[in-house]
Parts: sequence; C-alpha cells; structure tokens
Amino acid sequence: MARVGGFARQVQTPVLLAALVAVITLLAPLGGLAMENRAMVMLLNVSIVVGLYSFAGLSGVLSFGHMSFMSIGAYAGALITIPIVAKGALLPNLPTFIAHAEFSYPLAFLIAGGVAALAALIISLPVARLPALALSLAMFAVLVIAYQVESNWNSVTRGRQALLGVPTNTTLGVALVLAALTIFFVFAYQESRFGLRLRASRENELAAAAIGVNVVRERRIALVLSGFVIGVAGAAYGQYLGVFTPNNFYLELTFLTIAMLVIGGSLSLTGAVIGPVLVAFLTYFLQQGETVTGPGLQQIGLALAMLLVLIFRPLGLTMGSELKLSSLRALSFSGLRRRGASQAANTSSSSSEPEPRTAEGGPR
Amino acid sequence: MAIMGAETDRTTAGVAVASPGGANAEKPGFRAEGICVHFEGVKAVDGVDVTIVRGEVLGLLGPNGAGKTTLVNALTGFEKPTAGQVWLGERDITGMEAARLARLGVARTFQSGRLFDHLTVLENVEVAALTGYRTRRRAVARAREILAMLELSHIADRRARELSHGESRNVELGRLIATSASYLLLDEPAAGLNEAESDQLTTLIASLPERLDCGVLIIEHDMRVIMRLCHRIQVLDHGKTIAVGTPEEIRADAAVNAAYLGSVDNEAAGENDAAS
Repeated sequence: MARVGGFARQVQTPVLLAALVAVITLLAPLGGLAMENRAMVMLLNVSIVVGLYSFAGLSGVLSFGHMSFMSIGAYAGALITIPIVAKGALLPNLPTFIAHAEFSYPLAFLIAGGVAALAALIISLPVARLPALALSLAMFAVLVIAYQVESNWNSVTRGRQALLGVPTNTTLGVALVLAALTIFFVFAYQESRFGLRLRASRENELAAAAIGVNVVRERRIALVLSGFVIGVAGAAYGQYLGVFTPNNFYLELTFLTIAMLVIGGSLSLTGAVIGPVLVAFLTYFLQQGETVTGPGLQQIGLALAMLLVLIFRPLGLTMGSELKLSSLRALSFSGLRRRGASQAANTSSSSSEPEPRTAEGGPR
Repeated sequence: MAIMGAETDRTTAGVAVASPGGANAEKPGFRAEGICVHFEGVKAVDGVDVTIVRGEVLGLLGPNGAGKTTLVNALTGFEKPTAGQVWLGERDITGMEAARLARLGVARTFQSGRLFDHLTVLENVEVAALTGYRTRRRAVARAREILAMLELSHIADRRARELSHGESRNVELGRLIATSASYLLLDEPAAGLNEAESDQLTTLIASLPERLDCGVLIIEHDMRVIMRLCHRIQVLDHGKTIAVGTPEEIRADAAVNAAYLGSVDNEAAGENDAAS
C-alpha cells in the first residue's frame, strides 16, 4: 500500500471530490454549449447542496428553508453589482446605501454571503433551540416568509417582476472555483472541533449533551456557516441567471436540492457532491426521454429516484462513506480480482474468496 | 488481582466517609438534598439525599421502578427535580442543563448504549475529550491515551456501529472518562455483558476513583458487581431511600433483604464462592 502522509491523508477527500467535479467540467465543453450549460448548473448545485449539507448533513436536522438564504444571497449580490446608473432606472426607490453601492463580483459574492449569514444568525436566535423536527418545519416557515417578502418588496426586489440587468459574472471557471472552495471550506468545518461536536449530536443528541456538547450552540454555528455558503452560492446563481424572480428559489429548488442530498447520502461530504453530479446525469437522460413521453418525466424520475434510495438505501448511495484513495483502490482491486478469479476458477478455488473490505471502503 | 487492591482501598476510603454528615467531615463535592421528581401524581423519586465523594464508588440499588434512573436524570440535568437541590461544591446546580453540567464536571452514561454510531471509536472518545481540551490535536492525543489505557487502541478507527456489545460498553466508559469529569454517573454499565466481560469492566471501574481522583455513582443490578465495587451502597424503593451503608451493612440489613435482595444475594454469594 502506498504511504500517504498525515496531512495528505486528511485532505484526500476534498481533493478527490474537487478533482472529480473538475474533470466533468473540463469534459463538458466537448459536448457543445448545451453540455457546458449543464456543467454550470451541476457546479452551482454542488455548491448549494454542500452548503445545505453543512447544516442538514452534519447536524442531522433536515432543513426545508435553506433556499431562503440562497434568495437573500442572490438579491444581495445582484443589488450591489448592478451598475449604479442601471439601478437608478430599474429601482428608483432603492434605499440610498444600496443605490450607491457597486462592487466587483468576488467581493460582492462575499458580501452577499455575509448578508445571508446575518439573516441566518438572526433566525437562529429563536429557532436553534427547537427540537429537531420543529426546527425543520420552522425553517420551512422561514422560507415562506422570505419568499413573501421578496415577492412584495417592490422597491428593492421588484417584487414578482423579474430582477433584470444582473451582471452575468458566473462563468464556468468561476462556478468551478466556487464549487471547489465550497468543498474545502465545508470539509474544514466538518473536521473541526465544531463539526465533530455537531456530528456527535446528530448521532445521539442526549449522549452528546451528557458529555458536554452544547447542541443548540453547535446548531447555531452550523446555521450561520451554511447560511454564508448558500448565500455565496445564491449570489453566483443569480449572476449565472442574469434575470430572476423569487420563484427561482422556492419550492422547486428546495425539493431538488433535498433530493440531491438524500440520493447522494447526507452523512458524508462525498454524498453531498455525488448527489448533484448523479442528478445532473439523471436529468440529462430524463430530458432526452421527455422528447418521447412528453413533459413531467424529469420531475417524476427524480422523485422516483429519491423514493428508491429512501426505500432501499435510506442512508443514501454513499451511506456515510467518504471518497478516499483506498476506496478507489479497493474498487479497482475487487474488479481485477473478480476477473482474475473467474480465470483461475478451474485451477484453484481458494483465491476466489473476495477480500474483506476496509472499514472506510464503504458499505458492509 | 486488581480487584484485591481495590478492596483494600475501599476499606480505608469507607472509613473516611463513614460519617458524611459529621461536622468535621470534609465538605463533599457533589450532594443532593431532598430530591423529588413527580410525574402527574406519580412520585418517581420522593425526597432522596445523595452524596458522591471523590475517591469512592457509590452503588445505587433497588428493584425495577424504584426511581434509580430518574434520580440520576435529576442529578445530571436530564430531568428537572420537582423539589430539592443539587450542589457541586458551593454551587447550586439544580436544574442546570446537562451539557453545562458535563463541562462543570458531572458526566453520565445511559442504560442503553448510546455511542455515536457513524463516528469512529477514536472520534467518539475525542468528542468527550474536547470538553476539557480546546483543540482537536490535544483532544486526539487524550483520546488515544484513554483508548490505550482501556486496551482499545486496536479498534480506534472502527466505526462505533461495527462494535460488539462488550466493546461498545467499554468505549462508552472511555468516552465518559475523556470528559475529565470529577463525578461519573454510570447507569447499568455492565448490562448485557457476559461474566468475563463484566468482571473486566468491574475491575476497570474499581480503579477509576483513585486513578482519576473522581467520584463514581453506579446503578447496577448485578449483585456481584455491586458488592465488589462499591464503598457505599444506597438502596431505593418506591422513590425513597430505605438504607445507606457499606456493602456488609447492606447485606445484613433486614429491610433491604425483605424489599429486594433476598434470594438474589444468596445467589450472588454462591457465585462468589464458586469463583474463588
């Protein structure tokens, strides 16, 4: 077995995941503009779902409301990057401090993330104390409130009318860098002492409390951090769309991102990355199928995929395992062994016994 | 055998705390007075005093439904006492939430195993070590030390859900030790273990008060475990204390025998004879 240093061993998971996403992205332009577009959506979904995972996956409390942070990020990011002149025409009643703000996009993404994180902090004050199920539903209430505010705050969001003229700064490269940074950031959190405590509370809230984990505090931290990550992703998404309404960040997106997390597996970062990647491919094939069956196949197919995973593999496809070099090696070895074994089956039977898989190699 | 060593320690410590209420006795660190827990008219715990002393193992004994676990819940912040007060040194900790209590030095285990299933054994212990150590690096080092002490180093990287029942119970104890708490409350730590495993765990628990300078309260149904382990035993029945004393005194107590021990004790004594 190849020796891997301590640090390298630790960061291999985010490195491999970022590499996986990068390879798919680099291959996409070969398929033309449509494929490039799909890759872009996939990358943004990776950022969003990894952001969702940093709360829901690590805490074990599913959130039906994190897309509210995405809309906040999208609007905040858009309002501070649309050129001042354009804003004067588009949104004449904008508060002056926003009307006169114009930032370059990387800074605007960060500010948008900060605004979403601030919203998450305020929401967390009453909400983080709630028991798990109530917290999930409270977040749904937050989503509804955010949606209604954005749909009616005409002077700032243009209400139900689309917000136009948002600079389209999110190129494929920007989306790739953002997805990679998100993966590393959330991995660092997951492996920090905060992330460890939060994961312990996910496994057993009472036992965690009994050994000193302040579950409310850890959930609050996760809520703010995930708000930031999703806020940044929302700003990037807004600047990919160029034109959007509150409907872009409502129930459909909520279902889509939760389905991705469930399919990939909410117990590992790998699941949060693999989910959006697999759904990107699934969506492609379903859309091809729609040319034959007519509309609706895409949504039904995705919902069915989620159902099948919930029934047959409730912990998601990754079942809590992280992508590691050793698991890749185990996969390729078992493939080789199987082939070798079938060849050698006539001469020797003792070698056909499959090697027991390592603990980190995956499902048992 | 380590048990013998524990036994001699027990007598000396037992003498030192023979009169916890005495005016000159050292002020006990953890004490509860008049604890009541009532659920809609049911008096699960009804006016119980408990004192846990550092360097000593206190056994909590009683038939099913006597209120043992409810009492421990009330002492560790998992149940708000209807009446009564809990003191940690000079500090009134009545009704304080569990996580805060654990950080102040009162930690517990549960009757049914409650490990963090998807975390590794090392991580399980490390989470607890984070209570006393600020960084993960230090907490990992501490967790490795504890696993080595419990002879569990070989399973450090296994996920908790892959462990046998006996291994889980040991890891649970390791996790409790890692909190560096001064008062450890164990709710039936040997439940479901076979005799050899139970003996091993007993030996380990017996060594804790001295090794960690902590006080231990243990709920246990297994008489052999209780009689070998405890410096003092407190017997509950119907939510009230019916006896407190050394194992010898409890064994001789007629009320206790009538309420609870009886045949169980004879059985245990027989087993002890057979073992020696």
